Amino acid sequence: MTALNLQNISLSFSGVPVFTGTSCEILSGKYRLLGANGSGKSTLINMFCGLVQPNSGVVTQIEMADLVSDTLVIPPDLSVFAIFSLYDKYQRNDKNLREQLIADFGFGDYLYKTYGNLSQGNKQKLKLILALSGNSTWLFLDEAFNGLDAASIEVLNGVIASSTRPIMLVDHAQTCSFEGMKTLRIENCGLSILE
Amino acid sequence: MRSIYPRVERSLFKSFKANNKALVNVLIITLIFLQPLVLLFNLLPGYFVLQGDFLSAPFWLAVFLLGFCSYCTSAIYHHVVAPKYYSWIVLLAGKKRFLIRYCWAQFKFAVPTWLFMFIGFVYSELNFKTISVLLAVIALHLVFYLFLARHTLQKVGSNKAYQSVTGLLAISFIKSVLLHLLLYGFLMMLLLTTLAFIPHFNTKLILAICLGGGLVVLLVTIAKIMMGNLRIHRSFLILIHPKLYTSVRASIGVAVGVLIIIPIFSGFWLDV
Repeated sequence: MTALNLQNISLSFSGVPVFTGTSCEILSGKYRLLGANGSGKSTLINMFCGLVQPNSGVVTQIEMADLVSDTLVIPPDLSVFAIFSLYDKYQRNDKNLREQLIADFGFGDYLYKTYGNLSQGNKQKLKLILALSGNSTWLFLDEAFNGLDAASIEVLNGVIASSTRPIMLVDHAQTCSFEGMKTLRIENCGLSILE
Repeated sequence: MRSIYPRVERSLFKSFKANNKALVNVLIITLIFLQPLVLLFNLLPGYFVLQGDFLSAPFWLAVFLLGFCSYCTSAIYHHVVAPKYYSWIVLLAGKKRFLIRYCWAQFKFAVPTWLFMFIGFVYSELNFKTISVLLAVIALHLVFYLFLARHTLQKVGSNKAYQSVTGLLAISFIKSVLLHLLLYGFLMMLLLTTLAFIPHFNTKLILAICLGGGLVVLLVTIAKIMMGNLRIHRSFLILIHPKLYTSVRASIGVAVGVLIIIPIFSGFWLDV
């Protein structure tokens, strides 16, 4: 499994520093990413996914990562079925696992709806189904519990607990019940692993 | 099944067409008016560029014209195919595929430039120099598109910070009317140039009518877009101050009214 490396990373937005000379090695595992609002949690995840480039330093970037995040905007006029077909075209999903997740999340009735017509919760479910059934090494979940109903929260907790993939999770509301997670903390423009 | 990039691109073009019917109609009229002009100038820009005579003035004028044409198509493409879906495309299909598709899409969208270039072949002798110049132009475009794609990808998700509501409104208005300004301006220029070459007419009268009519249509369209844009920010403005929305709306109305009167007076000034 791929470890994620940050070597002397510096990054700032409009003159405001987010990371200054940060170095860290994140070995394969399940991590909960903590930090105050605006500390750079989503930025760090986007950096690992190759969506944000640091101003200086070297970072491990996962090509075609599995990510659930608000930064992912899907065209509203694509049907759910068309989105699945696109993922199949690029062989990004395990089809059997996807079918299983569709059933578990109770998403079967929405396959022919357009993305724009889905409710906020169902949009989140779709992003989760796509990422959880993905075949990338790491799974990045940025506020993935947002908008989910109680049954779906239980399903997602179950998937996180049983997954063998390394996971990085941002969960401000602390909805994730899986307790075997290590903690990563962003503080004072730096990143540390808490034991 | 289409690939993701053309699929997203087609969906954006479709929604742009549905939301900008007037603009698409003006574009069609512009293309119709472009033809007599192209015939008048004997499609010379491509010819002069392909000649590759770096020391002559027509060469640099042709380079400027083709460069402007190429810049306009690229800016329009960038405006229509908004980068907000790029993150998703990159995560699904990978960065390499995205870069290749983006460059190819921009290359195809620069049809007017290629048309000028290739028709220049009709007047040029096909030799090593001509082909080298053509390949250099294509390579230059591809490098520019690659740079643009990388730059755009880095900028996805980072929004500009506005320090005042006026700044936000001004930029959002300018963004929404920019294409109209460009296209109407280009159409009016074409109209004027074409009509200026038609003999046996009172040129001054035609110029005044074209200027006045074009300006009125342009201003009315821009006013409609601005009012529509203002409606989007309505609740936000009302929450700041109850009278802010109505006063901004009234200011736009007065400004457009004044600007519409100018062409009428300019008609009198021209003694038409």
